[in-house]
Amino acid sequence: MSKFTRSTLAKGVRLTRQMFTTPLKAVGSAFQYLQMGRENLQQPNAPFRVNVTVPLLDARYFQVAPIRPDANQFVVPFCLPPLQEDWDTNANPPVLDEFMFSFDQAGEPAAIASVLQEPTPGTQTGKLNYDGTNCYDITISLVEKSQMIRGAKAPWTPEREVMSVHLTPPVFAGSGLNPFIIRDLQKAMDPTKTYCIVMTCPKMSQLLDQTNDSAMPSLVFSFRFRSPIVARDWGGDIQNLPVSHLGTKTPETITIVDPATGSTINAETTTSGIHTSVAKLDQRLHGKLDAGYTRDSNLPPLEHLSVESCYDVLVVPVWGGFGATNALTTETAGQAPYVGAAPFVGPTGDARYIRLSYPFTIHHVMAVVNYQNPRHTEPYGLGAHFPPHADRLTKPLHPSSDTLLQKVGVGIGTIMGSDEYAYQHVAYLEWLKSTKAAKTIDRIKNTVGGVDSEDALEPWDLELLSVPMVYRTGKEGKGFLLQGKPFFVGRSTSRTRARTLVGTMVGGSNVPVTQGQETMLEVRWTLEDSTGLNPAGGELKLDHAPVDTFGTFGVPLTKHRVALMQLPGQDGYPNNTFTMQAGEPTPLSSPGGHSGWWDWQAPASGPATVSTFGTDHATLLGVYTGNAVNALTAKLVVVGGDNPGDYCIGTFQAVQGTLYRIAVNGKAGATGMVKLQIDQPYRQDEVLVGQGGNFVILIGKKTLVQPQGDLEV
Amino acid sequence: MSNSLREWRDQFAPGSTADGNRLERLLRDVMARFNRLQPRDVRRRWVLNRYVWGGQQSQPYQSVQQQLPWMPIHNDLSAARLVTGTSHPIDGVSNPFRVKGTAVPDIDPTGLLGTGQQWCVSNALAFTRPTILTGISLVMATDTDFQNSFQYTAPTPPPSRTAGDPVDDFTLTLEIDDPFNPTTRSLTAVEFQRARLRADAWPLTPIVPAPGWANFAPVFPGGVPGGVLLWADQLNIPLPRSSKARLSLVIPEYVGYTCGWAANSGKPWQNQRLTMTLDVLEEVMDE
Repeated sequence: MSKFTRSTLAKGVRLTRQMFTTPLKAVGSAFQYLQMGRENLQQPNAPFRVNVTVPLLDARYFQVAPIRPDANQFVVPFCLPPLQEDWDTNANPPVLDEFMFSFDQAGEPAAIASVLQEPTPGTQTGKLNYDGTNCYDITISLVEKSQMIRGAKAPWTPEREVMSVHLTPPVFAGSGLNPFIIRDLQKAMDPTKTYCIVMTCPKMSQLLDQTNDSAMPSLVFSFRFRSPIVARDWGGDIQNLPVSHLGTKTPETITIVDPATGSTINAETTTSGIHTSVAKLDQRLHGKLDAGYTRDSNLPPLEHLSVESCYDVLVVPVWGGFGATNALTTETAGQAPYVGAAPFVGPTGDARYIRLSYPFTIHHVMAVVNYQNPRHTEPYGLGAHFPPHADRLTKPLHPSSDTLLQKVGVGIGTIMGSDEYAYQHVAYLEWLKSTKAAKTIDRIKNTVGGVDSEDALEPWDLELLSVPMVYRTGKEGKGFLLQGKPFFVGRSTSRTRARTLVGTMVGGSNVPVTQGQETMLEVRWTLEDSTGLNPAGGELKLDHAPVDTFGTFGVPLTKHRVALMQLPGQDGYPNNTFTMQAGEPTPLSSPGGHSGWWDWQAPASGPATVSTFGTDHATLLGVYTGNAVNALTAKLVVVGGDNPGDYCIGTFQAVQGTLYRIAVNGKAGATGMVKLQIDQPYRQDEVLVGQGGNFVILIGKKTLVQPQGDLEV
Repeated sequence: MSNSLREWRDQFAPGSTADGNRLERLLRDVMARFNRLQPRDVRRRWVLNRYVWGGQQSQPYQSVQQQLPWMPIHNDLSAARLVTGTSHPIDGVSNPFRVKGTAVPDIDPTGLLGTGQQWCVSNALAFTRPTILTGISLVMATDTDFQNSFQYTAPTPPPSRTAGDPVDDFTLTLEIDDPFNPTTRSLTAVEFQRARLRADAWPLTPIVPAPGWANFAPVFPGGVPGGVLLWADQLNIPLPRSSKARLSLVIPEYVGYTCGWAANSGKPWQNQRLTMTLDVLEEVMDE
């Protein structure tokens, strides 16, 4: 309601009994009809935080020119969409109030060495570098961009800077300012926009400072916002709400009694009088006005306020700090848990378990998909990780597999400390490359410098997807996609407690399996690919050479780059015993004479480059499909030069699963040692989860609470 | 006379005169108060804000691992802690030990004697306003691939332990920096600490699920989670204004001894999936 008003008592006017009872009755009536609202509160806002935790960022990520001119930013996007009841009006936008940033320096004014730290990378990890704090030259910004889901022409890059802070090296050199905090920001947020935490730290790479390849372990970005205190979710349509009260408030009746007509206005009588009437309100204040849930999802016996809840955000990190490379890529997929043997079909997964304390309702769930490439993804010890492979500068980043299936689920469970074992579904999304566009809220490119992302097909670095909540047909809620009404989450005092019906992902209706016993929230994220998270175990087999007697052999591979051939102790593969077969195609009209044939089944679709680099004689090269040597279809034919160093190289479009017949022929009958390489880079270094990890963001509403024991601070 | 009214300036006792000025003043006070209810008038004026930490390690038996964000609890100027070829402070390290109260048997806390060392992951927070620490939880989950038994094991358990004993050598602690000397860890105030707890007393779940337990998609590929759940709620520990807090988990690495921390010949941080949460209550705010 609006604020209480009354007419001022005028001098000379005869006092009547209603002159004091009418205003007091208005207050009493506001209690009875639960009209005491936000306008009546001296402090009508409540804080919520966007707490983003990242296990590790290191020099791999922040490499700068000339290695990586376009990606020296680390970005985490999020949005603060309206609560379901405000979905159509975008009401109650929050205001950014405070920002905090920290990372772990082990209590020393020193830099923390990354795995790349010289002089011997891999041996210095985590060590202290007192000379190195100049590497921590950090800029953190919060930027805003339009959401693609709200407008097809929304750009991928941010449009407006909300705040920015430059933390210079002295902050991290023993000043006591880590954690760093900045307050009183007073920045209004737009519920229809996407916000991105953007961090740069260009000096963390050795490329600029020959002494430092540093890391930032255990990062925390915490943005505190304030939002209006609003009414809680209530009613039978709210999912999983205790049936016993359905969130309905029981008001207190405060009756102000008019003195009887003609009676004297007393200070105190049994039923009326100035003191008696005012004392009723006075006692109500001293008993404290109440509204909200108890820790165990119960309601106070009587409630006095119409508002008692506010906006809530829970950011759950998943996959951060994966393995030695800080990222899950096609190359490192074999290190992921649960994936099995090559080609690592999976699924692999990560999960977080969050113990419940106070009740809240979930209104929206979002997933942040991170493709930000850390570079140097080769694990230390398995390949040259410094300097980086130059060829990766032009390689696509995103998973190219059409069969990569990602699944995100949010559930409540009874597991923690309970003698029941049950889960109840809250939200779920699965997507393939072909279906994710329909689930996408926004796509974000982490570049402000205008340099294109490296994935020609998907030139963005992060995706924000909507993870719809379970819904009941006919009881749908509001949100980015079809989803259910808000979902209540909270513990109960009794062993089981009836809850309202919950939906399913297809609009069904169920009694919640958890029966009001939930003690935890669980977030899961799995990845699987029926063709393998890294199907690069494709083999190059010597075959299809009936007059040659080398038989079939394969080379175990960990990448899509296939390098053949070398017999033990020899530099290449001798072709002097190879012969031509009847009907065998001769590349162009350049006769050969000593042809070797290899079969190669493409593990993925995309360009494949074949070369005879390193062969010590002039060569002819052909790539064919077909099952008979005299009925082959040419896909690539290359005639090399006449000199021994003039190797053949060519690229053709490979189709996943197709068997290709590759011929290397000695040009004009030349003989010697053959070498053959096939490089199908399309899936060589695809980022499944970028450095910093993915995130699942829960948006909801929490109620005001009271610490146990009426603690005063 | 009746009890005095506690909130208003004017008291109306029997026999007193109720003139218009007094009545006007009373009503003005009452209206003003209910038009601008103060925080102390409202029973529930705090809201919960949560921090969640965690990440995914490689398979524990992978030889290639990332040590960070785990670092030793002890700082020194030995080659084991100092980057090769760099200088060191004239006065030595600032904080030889960066977490308090973490000592366990059979490990030299400095890590310099070759008997093992302790590793710490530490997350720092700052609060400008008075805040109430209300809950902390730690989940070290195990499954088909992450196989910490949380026991000392044969053939060579640490000398003071017996094979089959549950581990009691991890520490979860929250400390507040000294407001006047925030860089000296010996001056921190330990606000919360759980140390030397027997892992078997804090199971993630005490039961074996019945068939059909996985009624929550996606089905987790690691199977039924086990491991350790350490939690504390209703702590209600007040954190003063401008507090800088550090939540740290310390786990041991034994050298020459066998235990669940070293399952699959791995490092101690490799054998469980980690989730840490911190719940704080923050007060309502004005415009």
